[in-house]
Amino acid sequence: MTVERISVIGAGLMGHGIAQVCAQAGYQVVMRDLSEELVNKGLERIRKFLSDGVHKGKVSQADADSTLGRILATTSLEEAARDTDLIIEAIVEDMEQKKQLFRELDRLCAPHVIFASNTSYLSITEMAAVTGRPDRFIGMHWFNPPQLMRLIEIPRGQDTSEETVATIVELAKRLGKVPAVCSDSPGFIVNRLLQPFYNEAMSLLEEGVASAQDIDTALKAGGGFRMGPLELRDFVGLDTALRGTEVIYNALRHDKFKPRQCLIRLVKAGHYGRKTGRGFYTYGQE
Amino acid sequence: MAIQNVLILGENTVGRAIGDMMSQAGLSCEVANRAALADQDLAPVDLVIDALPEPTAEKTLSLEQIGRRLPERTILATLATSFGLTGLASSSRRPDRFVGLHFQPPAPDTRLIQIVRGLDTSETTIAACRELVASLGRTAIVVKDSPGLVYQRVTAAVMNEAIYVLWYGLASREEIDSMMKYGANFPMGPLEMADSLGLDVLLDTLEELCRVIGPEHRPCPLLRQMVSAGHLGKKTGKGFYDYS
Ligand SMILES: NC(=O)c1ccc[n+]([C@@H]2O[C@H](COP(=O)([O-])OP(=O)(O)OC[C@H]3O[C@@H](n4cnc5c(N)ncnc54)[C@H](O)[C@@H]3O)[C@@H](O)[C@H]2O)c1
Repeated sequence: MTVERISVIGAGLMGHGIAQVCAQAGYQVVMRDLSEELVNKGLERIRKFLSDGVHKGKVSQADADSTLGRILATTSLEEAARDTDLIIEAIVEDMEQKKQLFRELDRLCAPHVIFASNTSYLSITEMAAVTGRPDRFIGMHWFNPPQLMRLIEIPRGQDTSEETVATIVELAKRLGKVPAVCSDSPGFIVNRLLQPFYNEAMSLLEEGVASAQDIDTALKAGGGFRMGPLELRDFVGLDTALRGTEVIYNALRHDKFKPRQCLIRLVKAGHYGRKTGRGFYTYGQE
Repeated sequence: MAIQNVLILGENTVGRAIGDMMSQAGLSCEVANRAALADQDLAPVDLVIDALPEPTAEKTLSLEQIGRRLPERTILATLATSFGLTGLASSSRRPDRFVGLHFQPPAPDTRLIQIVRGLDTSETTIAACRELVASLGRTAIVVKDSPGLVYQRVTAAVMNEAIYVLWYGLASREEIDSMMKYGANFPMGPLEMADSLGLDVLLDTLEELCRVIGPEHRPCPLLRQMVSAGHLGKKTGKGFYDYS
């Protein structure tokens, strides 16, 4: 199957970026959120990203205009479900809300429509099971910011068909991204492999082997990592970081994934990293 | 104390590469083997770097001998990467002036030098080493004597998990590597990283981590199997990838 029209559900941090990438690649896109205000906020972010690109000479004015012209913003789920080939779901990370949405979409969408979820940690198979199309249900896990990060991780559910996998792999390539297929397992691959990266850094800190700064420096100067593990956690937000780690640990139950005490303590203290001015590091009054 | 005069013990590739690094930075440096050491005038030496190969029975003996002959002020450093610096320090009889220096490969292009603090290493010794690293134009970090230090421990844990993911069949090797490169900005995929490090070296690191730190570092059975098969990565032409 070839995808021609795409509907992105959720116009938040990820949804607006995904809609932009799809429209820039020439697809007709419908972007849906719950209120006018939220949809407009998403559109505004796209406009800003594109006009920054025009100023930097990375995008032509004509391309920016036609990209925006291909995005239809709406609050109506019916409109997003009509005349589409693919749903990319990027709403809040909550299993019940996602299931509810997919149940409705399953009713509204034509049978050929593929459902893809941008979930970071939830089971694709479990979501697929509430629809009548588990063979046309798949993960499409983008990375933040979607406009710049090249990977799309593609977890296949228990019953996802080969044809669905092939369609999404092909689409990812057309979007200029690097697709990588994997099984539906907790945290998929990237977030799973990042757990020991972060956890070992935190264990080193707890054991007093080195300071936070020296740990980060070791990875950057020693191996060309762009950012150290601890500054990365501060950047993403320690509350978000802990939640992700807990999901993987609760599912896999192995000590290597267990949230480290220093992280739990910082979160309890309300030190969430950059956004609160304190985390593994202290940030200046900004 | 500013380190001016360096003696490197061990006329081997690593010893010579580090010697080059020192000379290029304008330090007076000599690389010698153990036999030649007997006639050496040790009075001017500020720092001895032991680059003798492990295992350690012989090494311990040499360090004990040389420790006895060195001037009071001289710092004795070892390149040893495995946990056990403190043991060597005590046999050198100058545990406060004993330190580990880990030059991130490939020397002499090292950017990072991990200064390893044994249980009894003094602040003065650490300060002198920091100064030395600065004069070499490299980046220093100070770490406690601990298996794998910082860089090797963090990366070994990621490589091990990547091998588990492959072993469980959750994704292919190419996919695992491209996921980490393009989804997590890794400079290299973890399986490519393991192949360049050497799978035997990775296995040794993990076994030591497992023994000293805890079972979360248990090496993946697939890694053991590959090492038994003699597929050690780039250096043997075959690891997770084929290099022939
Ligand atoms: N933030 C990241 O770095 C990141 C990376 C990869 C994947 N994800 C995943 O992407 C998804 C979205 O994350 P986000 O960071 O963009 O969150 P966000 O909170 O910025 O955006 C979610 C948006 O979805 C909207 N929404 C909620 N229910 C809806 C519905 N029924 N229909 C339409 N819109 C609805 C919300 O109003 C909100 O605007 C989550 O599943 C998250 O796990 C996030």
